[in-house]
Amino acid sequence: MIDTELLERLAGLSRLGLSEKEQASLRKELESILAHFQSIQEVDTEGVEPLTHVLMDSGEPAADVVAPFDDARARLVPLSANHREGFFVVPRVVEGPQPGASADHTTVHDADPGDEDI
Amino acid sequence: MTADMRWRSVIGLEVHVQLSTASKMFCRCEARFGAPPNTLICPVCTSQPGTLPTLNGEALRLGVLAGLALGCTIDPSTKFDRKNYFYPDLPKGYQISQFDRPLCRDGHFKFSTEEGEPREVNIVRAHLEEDSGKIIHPEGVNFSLVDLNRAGTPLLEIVSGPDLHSPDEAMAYLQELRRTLRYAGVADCDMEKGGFRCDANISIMPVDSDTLGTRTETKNLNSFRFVAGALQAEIERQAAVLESGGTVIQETMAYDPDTGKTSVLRSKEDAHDYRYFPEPDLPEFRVDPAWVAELSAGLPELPRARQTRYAVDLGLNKRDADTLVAEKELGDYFEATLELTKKPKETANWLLTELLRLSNDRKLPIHELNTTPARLAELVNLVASGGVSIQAGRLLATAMEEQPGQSAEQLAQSMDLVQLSDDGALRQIVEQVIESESSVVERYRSGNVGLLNALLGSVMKASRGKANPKAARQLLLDTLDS
Ligand SMILES: [Zn+2]
Repeated sequence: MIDTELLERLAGLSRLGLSEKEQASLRKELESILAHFQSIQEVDTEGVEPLTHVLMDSGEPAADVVAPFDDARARLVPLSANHREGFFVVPRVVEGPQPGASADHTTVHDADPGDEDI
Repeated sequence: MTADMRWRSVIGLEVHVQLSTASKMFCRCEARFGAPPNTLICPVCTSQPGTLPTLNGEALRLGVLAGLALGCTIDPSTKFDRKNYFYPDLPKGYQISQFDRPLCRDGHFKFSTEEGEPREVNIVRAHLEEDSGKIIHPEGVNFSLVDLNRAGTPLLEIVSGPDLHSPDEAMAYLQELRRTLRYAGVADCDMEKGGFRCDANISIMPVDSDTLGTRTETKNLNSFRFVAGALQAEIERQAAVLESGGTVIQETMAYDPDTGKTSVLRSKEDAHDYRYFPEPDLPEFRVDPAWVAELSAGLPELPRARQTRYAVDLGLNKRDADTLVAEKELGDYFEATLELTKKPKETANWLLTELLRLSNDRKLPIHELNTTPARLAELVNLVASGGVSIQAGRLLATAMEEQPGQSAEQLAQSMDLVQLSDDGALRQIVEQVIESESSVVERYRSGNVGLLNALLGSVMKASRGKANPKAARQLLLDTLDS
């Protein structure tokens, strides 16, 4: 069962603001998806190795050769809703940079208490 | 009593290392620090709809090399997973990482403390993942700026077991890890450019207990000094909490180097729910054991082994061995010179005094000096054979660097630095001195053997300092006793 609390948690994790109507229809959809997996879960998988990709060992890594995307900044940055001076512009995500750290990597977020685990 | 005496600290470190590839992890944008914002980006690393990642084979190779250098088992088949979270520096809304099947696991890594005590740390896992972009927060505005040049740079996250028990031990581990990765050619670990970053898990327990305390995680320590400061501060904070009857809460901390204190970044309730799942856009990659064996055989001698060899086999003192091993280039230079001199101590002395002085004065790395290992070997051999004195050798070192076209011997000649050690010229001087200092010679011969030094001084003076003292002494003895 998808209760309101779970639905709100999922919406929060996905950064979605849902109206009540959307919540109701999404709940239905999610429940049918879960029901589908519940029926799959009835299959006895005892002793079967987990399979994440249908094609095993098919990966062929690429050569480490730089191939720049020409005029990257001029072509890609303007695709965003808001940009300036070659940067993507986003809503303020911190109170301010922490002293002593490279500005991006020791930050206290107010918009999002989490993240930056890289 | 300090906190160190009442409490035992338990520290595990997570280190993020940027791998030395030319291009990014999943696209062929250049992976480089310091370019103008958003000039090293493409549809893949900015996550435009319909784009797909392709794995950089060099990142995989370097990941395997690092795992081997850390004594890890390499997974014969490796897969990637999505770690889901929203933040503006992560355009896809997830980071491609590795969850349940890290490329490398179960390593054992040895290092020594500052005092030379051997230690071993378990490497729980080391996995590949992509770096995020950078966010800049201009003063006085209500927005932030995003630069995605770094987004997609290959990282290796190296997770140690909770096997470190003091800030000093943690530092020694990090230093050994850094130089090992540099030796293996995996990463340059340049902290100033964000190439080596550390998160620390810390808990403390009473020294007489064996029950682990609650741990906290202190994030984003990007210099060795910060790591030491943050660990000490967090250990002291936890000790103060426990000693005042409180309990340590599992939280994420940030360290402020200005105040020297740690503070809560977020609490456990805010802990992430990353909802990992296998990355459907990338297949599994086979890591052929034969290829791994080949890479293992090609690993260079690692710094710890080299250091032991210098100290034990070559008989260098610990300080010299440490210095020579600190940077691979210096050790390689030493090896190349030693090959031609076969004199470890003398070679180390000349390299660590005169060559490092020249390197400092000229602000050039040692391997860019005019003085190549072959030229340094000429100098070492010339001094060792008595051709020039040690003092003259110092002058010669500078001259050799300034006049790369001239051999050590040619310069010694033209600078009039050649020592008199051959019989002819030196014998003449010795005989002159014996003749002119007849009264001293008399007293020497009648038993005042201490006067030999006075006679030697006269020989040195008469030769204007160019006599080889050892040869002159022998010649004096021979002549006086005959
Ligand atoms: Zn790219």
